[in-house]
Amino acid sequence: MQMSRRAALRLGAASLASAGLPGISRAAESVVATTYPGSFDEAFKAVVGPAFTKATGANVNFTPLLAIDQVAKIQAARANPPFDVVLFDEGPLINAIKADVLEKFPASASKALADIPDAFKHPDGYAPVITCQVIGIAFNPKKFKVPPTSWDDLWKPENKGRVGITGMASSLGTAFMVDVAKLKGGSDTDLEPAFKAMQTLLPNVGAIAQSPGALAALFQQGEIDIAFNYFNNIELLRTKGVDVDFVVPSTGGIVVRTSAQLVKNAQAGKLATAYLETVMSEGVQKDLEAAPWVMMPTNKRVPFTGANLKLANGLDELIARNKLLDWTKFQHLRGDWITRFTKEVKI
Amino acid sequence: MAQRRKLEIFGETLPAMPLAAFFLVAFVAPFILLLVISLYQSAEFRGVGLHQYVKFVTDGFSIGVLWDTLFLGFCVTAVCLLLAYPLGLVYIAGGPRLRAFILFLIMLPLLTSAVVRTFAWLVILGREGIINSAMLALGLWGQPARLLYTWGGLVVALAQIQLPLMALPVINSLLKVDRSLVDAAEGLGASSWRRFRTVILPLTLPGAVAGSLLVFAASTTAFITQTLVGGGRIVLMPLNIYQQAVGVQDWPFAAALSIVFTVCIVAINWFVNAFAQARMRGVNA
Repeated sequence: MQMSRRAALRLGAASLASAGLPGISRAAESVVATTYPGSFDEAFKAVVGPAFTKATGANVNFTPLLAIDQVAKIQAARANPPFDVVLFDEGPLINAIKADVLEKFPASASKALADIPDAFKHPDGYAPVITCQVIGIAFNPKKFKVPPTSWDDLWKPENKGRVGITGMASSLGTAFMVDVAKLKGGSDTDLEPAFKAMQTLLPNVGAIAQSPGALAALFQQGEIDIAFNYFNNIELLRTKGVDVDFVVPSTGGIVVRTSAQLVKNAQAGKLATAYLETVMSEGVQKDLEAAPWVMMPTNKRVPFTGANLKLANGLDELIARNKLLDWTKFQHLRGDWITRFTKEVKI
Repeated sequence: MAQRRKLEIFGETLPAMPLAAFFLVAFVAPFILLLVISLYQSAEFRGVGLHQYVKFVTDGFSIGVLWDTLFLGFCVTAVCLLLAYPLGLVYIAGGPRLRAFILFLIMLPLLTSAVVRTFAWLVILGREGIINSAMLALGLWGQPARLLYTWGGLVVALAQIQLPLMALPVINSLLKVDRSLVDAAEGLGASSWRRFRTVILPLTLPGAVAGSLLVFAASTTAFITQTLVGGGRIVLMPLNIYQQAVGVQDWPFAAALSIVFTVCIVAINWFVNAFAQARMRGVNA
């Protein structure tokens, strides 16, 4: 084939432009949504993706990332954010609202919002809570004749080298530290007792994982036998045949409320709102609640079933039996805490 | 005349212009941006000064992390050198088939991503991994040893992953060694160790230096392998920078850490290069 120089140049320029401007060449009919590494990612890919495609004909590209990575990436590219919809626990949500990277949720256009109890709607009009995660003790039932009952079990001398932890960059690590501090005489803002306790925990620590999902996976590799973790992470591993089980500590588990939020300047526009509708809808919440995902539903039409009944008969009871943390009190301190944790909790 | 010479130089450098432009946009510009960010006094981008660098120098933790990271690079480079020379000598001594086979083995790790290679090491070093299971089954160890998340484990894993970067330049320079020089040394009664030390090693120094610089730079900055095999227990510069930038959201300090880290590695590269050039001039004289 003969091609004039001009035609070749034009072709080259066009292909360069399309490579350099993914925003333009990207198919309009898709949403980029984040998930958390671990069970969240698997559940959303299996349930939310197909349901969204069925409802809208569009696709979802899922990106598993910790919430703090998500905030950082949006802040680094405000005008052209890499995601349309993000997933945030309570702490990162406060940061993201402060950084002004989120769009409020168009409540009037939403059908599914009516099924979400008022307690889970955002007071300032951002998108509501879509699921609750419960933090408790994960352990290997083959290695424990008597299941652990409280956080203190992590400190027992017989668990030397068998404890897994993760840092305070995750909601999991932060919630654990705040809870330990409060149980040992500290407060939401005074973590001194928890940091002291970590020093005495170090001989028992076998691994420090990078994320809650990675921490759960350490049970699979046989690296650790006891850790703090989320119920849904552990339940998913258990149904896959890994020797791991979950108990709520005697002092109560910690409930973390997670929401999906619209990103400012997102390219997906209305599709992003449609994605949130899908996540909140009765059908999707029902499928997310079922085994093996066991994600606590916030849609009031969806009852607890199966493994979730081990923790409570419904969301109200779950929250009454366990603890919520007031993240507004300490979210601004987390930067310092993360740095201190990295410095002090190492061998 | 001068005009023409200018044109010639321009003509010679013209083909390098696209690369130079790319380098300017993709490396120099971000680096300058990084430098500017590192001069902000606070994480909220207020005030200008050397505050972040003072923080780095006065905060014992970060200097310790920097030192650990450079020491890691040194350890990995040393292990790679020790492995690459015997491998190269076997390659030189072998026939075409053996050579092709060795080359294939060296290239093999390069064909998979660093993530995959790192995960293989997780399987090998884990508490229920290959080494521990074998040692327990043979009755040599009473209980599983901790191999993962240790300094030794990290050095070994990184050395394997970066070995091609050392082996290829070393083999290349071994191929260039004039066989007759080695034969002459042997004829004059030099032992094999002496032949290696006084003939082969000086002549292959360029390859060893090139390999060392590559391995050093690659292993000190290997974020994925350091993080997965080292775990949260071993904190090195890449993880430290990541945590400051993403976890703590202190971009100025993260930028300052990046600048200090880059300057250190460039300085070491420059120093080793200068040293090697001086040595090579000595050999040629």
